[in-house]
Amino acid sequence: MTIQRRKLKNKAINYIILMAVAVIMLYPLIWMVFASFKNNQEIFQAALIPSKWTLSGYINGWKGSGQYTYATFFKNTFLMVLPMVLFTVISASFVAFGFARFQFWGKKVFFAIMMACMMLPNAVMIIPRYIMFKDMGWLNSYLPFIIPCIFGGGSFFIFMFMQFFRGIPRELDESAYVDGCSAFMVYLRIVMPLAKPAVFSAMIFQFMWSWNDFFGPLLYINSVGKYPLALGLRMSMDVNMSVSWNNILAMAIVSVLPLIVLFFTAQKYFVEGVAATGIKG
Amino acid sequence: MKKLLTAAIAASLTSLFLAGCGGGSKTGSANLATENDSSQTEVAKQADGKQDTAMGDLVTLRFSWWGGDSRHKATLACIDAYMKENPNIKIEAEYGGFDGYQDKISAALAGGTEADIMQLDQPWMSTFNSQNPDFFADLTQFGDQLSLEGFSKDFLNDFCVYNGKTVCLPTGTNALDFLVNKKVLEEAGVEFGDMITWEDLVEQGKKVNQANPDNYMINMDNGITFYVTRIYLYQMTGKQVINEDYTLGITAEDLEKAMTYTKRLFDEKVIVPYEESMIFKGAPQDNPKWNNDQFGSWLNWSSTADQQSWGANAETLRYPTLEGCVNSGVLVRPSQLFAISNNSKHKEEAAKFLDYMLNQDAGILTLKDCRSIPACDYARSLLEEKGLIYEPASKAIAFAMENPGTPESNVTNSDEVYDALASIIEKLVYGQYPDAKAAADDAYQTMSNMLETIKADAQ
Amino acid sequence: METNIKRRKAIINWINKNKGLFFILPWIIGVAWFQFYPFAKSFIYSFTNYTLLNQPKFVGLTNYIRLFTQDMEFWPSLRVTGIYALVVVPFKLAFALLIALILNMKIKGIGLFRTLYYLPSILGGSVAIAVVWKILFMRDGAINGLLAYVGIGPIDWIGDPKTALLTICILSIWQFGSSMVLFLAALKQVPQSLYEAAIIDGAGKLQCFFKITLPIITSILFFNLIMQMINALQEFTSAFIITGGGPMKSTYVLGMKLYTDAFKYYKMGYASALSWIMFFIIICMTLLVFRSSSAWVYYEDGGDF
Repeated sequence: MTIQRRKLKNKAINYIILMAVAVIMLYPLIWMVFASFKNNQEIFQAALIPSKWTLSGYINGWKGSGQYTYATFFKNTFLMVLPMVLFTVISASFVAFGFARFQFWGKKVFFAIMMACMMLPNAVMIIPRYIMFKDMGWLNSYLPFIIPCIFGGGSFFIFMFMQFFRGIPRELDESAYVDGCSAFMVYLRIVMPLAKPAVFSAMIFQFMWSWNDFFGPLLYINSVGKYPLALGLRMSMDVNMSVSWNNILAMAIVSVLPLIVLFFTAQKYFVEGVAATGIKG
Repeated sequence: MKKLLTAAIAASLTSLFLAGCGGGSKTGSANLATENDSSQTEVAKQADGKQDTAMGDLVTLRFSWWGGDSRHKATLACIDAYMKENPNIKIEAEYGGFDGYQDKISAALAGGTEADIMQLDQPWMSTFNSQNPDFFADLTQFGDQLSLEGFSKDFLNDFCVYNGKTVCLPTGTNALDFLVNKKVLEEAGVEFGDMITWEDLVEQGKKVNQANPDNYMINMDNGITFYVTRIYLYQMTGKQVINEDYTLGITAEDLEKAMTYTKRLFDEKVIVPYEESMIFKGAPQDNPKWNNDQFGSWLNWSSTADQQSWGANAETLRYPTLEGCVNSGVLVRPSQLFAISNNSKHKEEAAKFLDYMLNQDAGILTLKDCRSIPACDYARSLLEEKGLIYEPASKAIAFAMENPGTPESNVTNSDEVYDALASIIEKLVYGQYPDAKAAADDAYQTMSNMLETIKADAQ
Repeated sequence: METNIKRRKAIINWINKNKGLFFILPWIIGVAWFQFYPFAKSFIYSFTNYTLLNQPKFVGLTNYIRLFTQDMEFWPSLRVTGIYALVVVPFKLAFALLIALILNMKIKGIGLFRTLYYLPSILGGSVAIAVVWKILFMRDGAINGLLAYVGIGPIDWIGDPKTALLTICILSIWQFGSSMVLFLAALKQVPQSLYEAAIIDGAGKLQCFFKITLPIITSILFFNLIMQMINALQEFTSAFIITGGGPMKSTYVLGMKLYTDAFKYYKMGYASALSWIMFFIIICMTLLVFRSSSAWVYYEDGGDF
């Protein structure tokens, strides 16, 4: 077999594997999409494709319940999530730079503390946190979510940035210092641009997790008018009467669309962006 | 990239600003006067929604409840009507589903941020009131605003009076309901007499599955522990499962009998098997067979009676009973309760609103039976006149009132202990015990131990 | 005068030497406020009988003792969690790495594939996915429908205690996207020149993988391993939504027990004790991995920490 042929064969095999695995992986989602176009009765029937395509799931689902449509829930989710993402990226990378590039008094101890924080089960801190937020008057707002992001953004992101930074050779820093850069400039001009993959990963992860967060809003947000999508979806679901599954599935898909769009556009950057760094060779 | 970043920062700062402010302002309210005049502390306090403003009589009440869409719609309509009549009152609605509601209320009570008016479930009251007798306001002190005349004194005493105070009012009445799907029963040749015993339930009920192996007489998840096992125990012994002094009121032998019966339901295919019901735990009505006329009956509270689409095929029969039972066991209780927070700054206004909802025509006719058959006599007769009551539900209550079971004591509503019992019954059905006696002994032991611990903690 | 200047110099010197401290200052504040304080409070609670609605009363080690000796559910729950973690973490990482490797090749439409594989993770622990999972794994759901084609009889995925945990594991493994994305990023950082040199020297594909790829991405592998392990040990959402811990507590992971004890039974003090035990377990496991890391993890920046 010629080299051309073999290359082609390999490529074909790769494609086949990728497609097959993709289909298996995505079957639940494929099912979900088709189901959202069915009417409620059909959902529990075996056929994948609806016998009668209908948009009623989307139309009725969007209306939401009570006074608020899903437009409100969307708006609220953005209000909550965007600041969180922004502050997390800035704050976590800043802090990670400190950990990754410097020796300083108490470093080992602080690092150990940071790792330990990642492992503390969240559930345990919920009640003391709740009482604290209430005393500060932050309840029924998005502050309990946003403010902690300004102060480090969470150990996960700090750790992640750290690991990425450590993959960037120190020689770059050193040559910048020799040229007279301050530490902050090294952070901003040298290391951060090279850490684009990490930045985008952090953005995507934080966006995704905040977008999907259910328990936090459940505790801290009281009024339906401030519900983010997660609570709105849940509210549609948990009624006494029989549930309209097609509405819920339709709204679930709609609520996930921004995440998909974000990932699709951003992932171009973060995986291929490292190409022109000049480190190679 | 830079442009994007600047735009992103601008957007986020704006939303942060809005979000932070959002905590202080009312949702879409026209309280411009108050917000302009308020100082920093005023704005912060307004986050609790309870601060009276300096300008005029403007009052804001927070009202929280759970329910489904129909209840939300009806309640919101009621609120709107009330606000129209009383332009100085603003009622902020906080509503959602049942799931997670108890957690939210508990956290709110613990943190002092509960709403002015709260809808509560009766099983929670004992816990709340034993922990802190001052969570809720005594409603008898609002004689001018809120009339308690229409409510049966016995009913109130049984369910609404704690530590000598009337801390809540029933929004409606609930009774145990044996709701059957006539179509399914007819097709399977099931026949019940006027009085139905548990024996009858098995003998007749198994015909449903015999007629069609996919169908079952009873649709229930492990709520079966309550609606069958505990009621069975109750009828058999007339005693509470858990006494006020944290001891078990029933014996291991009693448990054995009740558990044996429960297991029979599964063995003889009267009830849908655990493997299937597990998937719809907490919401058995989500099982598609439910609306497909494949289940014969529903043992539950009457307030859930209208959660099916059986139409005219829905009928209430007498709740199964034990031959020679000591207590009818057919429990009657409030469907939900309304209470006023003792921390509320506008208790009188809250009481007035409660009166509107429970005692006055306008409120009654708007709410109808979204919270089940009203507990207030006047309200009930008004709705009956207008034909706005769901017949099977009211029939269940009528049956129950003939010989109501003694209400369960406060301590019996210990989730933890009952979950343990439910777990053991589940294991029994899955064949993890050699026989019912072993299971009963285990249950007795486990529950006693747990109660001892709980008792020690409560000192 | 002299001393003043000396002191100033000494301070400036110290600041210069410890620049890092200022970078991590925001985090220090955040930790003290949002982690330490609640953390300490919960520690205190674990020695009390706090039930949210009463005043906490000190009870010493009672909670801990009860957990280990009297609680019927603790040891089974621990076992379930352990099995779950042991199954989920290796499989998740393996799939993630495998797919990342395949995707790393220059294939047309690679962006599309990346998104497709990541999709399950995006939906995360959402309510909607749990519903879909339930319906699919029902007795007459699609999964059994597909299995019927290969002649495997209908399995009660969720109702049967033997398979329920597997269902939850599958849901978790299905969401390997986040690890995959990180592996992809790491793979991109491996210099092509190394591969080229190796191929010239006659190395085969497998050798390339084991001798070049794997060692270089170990820092990310390390990160993924730690994060996935920590998450797995605290898992809650999927068990909560799909099976509610059943049947017969076969999916009652520690995270669920914590939630139930804290928010259903309101035994806040007791639940705090449980959380501290979980914390301890997680720390031990993490230390183990950290210890071993010097043997197998490679850092581009010299590894000095």
